[in-house]
Amino acid sequence: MTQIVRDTSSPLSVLNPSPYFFPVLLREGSKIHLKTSRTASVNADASSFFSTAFANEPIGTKSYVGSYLAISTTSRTTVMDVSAKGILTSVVGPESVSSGDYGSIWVTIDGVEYEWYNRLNAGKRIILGGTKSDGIPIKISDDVHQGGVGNGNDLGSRADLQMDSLLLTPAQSLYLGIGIPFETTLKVEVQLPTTANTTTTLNTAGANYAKLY
Amino acid sequence: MSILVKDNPLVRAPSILAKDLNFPLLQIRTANLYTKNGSSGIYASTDANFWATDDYLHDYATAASVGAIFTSANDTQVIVDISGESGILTHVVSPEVDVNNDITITIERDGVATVYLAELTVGSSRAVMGGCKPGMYASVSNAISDNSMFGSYNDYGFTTYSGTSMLLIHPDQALYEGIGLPYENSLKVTIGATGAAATTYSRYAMVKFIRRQSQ
Repeated sequence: MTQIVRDTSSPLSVLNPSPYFFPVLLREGSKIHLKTSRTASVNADASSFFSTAFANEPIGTKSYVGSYLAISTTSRTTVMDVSAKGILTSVVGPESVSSGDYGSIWVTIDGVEYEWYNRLNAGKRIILGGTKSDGIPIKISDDVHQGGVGNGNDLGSRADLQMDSLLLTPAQSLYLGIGIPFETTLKVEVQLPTTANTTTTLNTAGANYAKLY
Repeated sequence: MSILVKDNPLVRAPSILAKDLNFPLLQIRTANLYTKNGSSGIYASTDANFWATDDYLHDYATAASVGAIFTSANDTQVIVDISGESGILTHVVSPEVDVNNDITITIERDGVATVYLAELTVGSSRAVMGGCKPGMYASVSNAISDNSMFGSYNDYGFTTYSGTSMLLIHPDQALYEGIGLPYENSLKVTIGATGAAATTYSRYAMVKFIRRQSQ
């Protein structure tokens, strides 16, 4: 007998609970980058990082949805709250102010809340989801091969907190199996409970998810 | 209720031994979906060579591709329907449709079917599942040695997202990347399109899989 498992949510649903994973990364804003073209990139100390990665883009031109805002208090603050179906692909929290500050990111998937909670060194963000860290993850010329785990430009474990990382596009995240599927609702909240960050852009947080329908 | 992440079953590494591997569903403009044919040849899915390179309608002992040509609006076709053998489904490529049309992909493995619905949000696009690497062009020279990596020179990143190229990789490469849906005895893939494009090769669809065992 054929068992029909109808799943119209899709971008990415699968038969088993989840083949996806969702890594967590702690980085200074200047060490997390995204590419804006073949020859340009921007890091999270710049406001254009958030307006690029987490803009609420028209679905007609991009197949992901984002949201971002500045958080200048130590209150638990909602970054994204949607009724939709999709795959959460990235969350970037605000930068901490002092070493020993704590940060939290809550992700509520179809009514079930998960919390990421980290003690942070000064100037670190909690970053969830699609990132890549392997030496020099950003190239803006085609001269020589410089990236890759174990490559001469891979800083390895010794300097891991200073390694540059790349924020992947939602499609790239899905290709690598990075994301959390949700069927009906998604809510993302962030908090710096120790010290409020009042510096523009450094206190900005964002999230995005993929959809195809 | 709050669940601390260290106990969250969602946070785990995918295992090559898992029954289901990753099988992403993405959309891509027809003209931006490429395949490589040797070290220096690339073809877009609007080109006859794309389908010849990917062995359209050919069937080999270990890796196979089968295809279909869609004819009109609201067409539904069974692309592959095999039984008595095991393998791993690595690719599904739908025909092209325009914005606000739907692609329905039904994958039935060992008698259990899953229906995936993609309402394409970009015009002149296909829905693709499995081994299609997003955000990359294809190198036609070994001088550009790093362009298969996300973040490399040929990764266009976020800005040209909708027009970014996508590379159809080989089934063996898909398995290396942890992409594929295993089946033990039977595989059937059906694609429905609410408005296939008029251009010849835009109406082509394809399924690729690796034959693991014949019974």
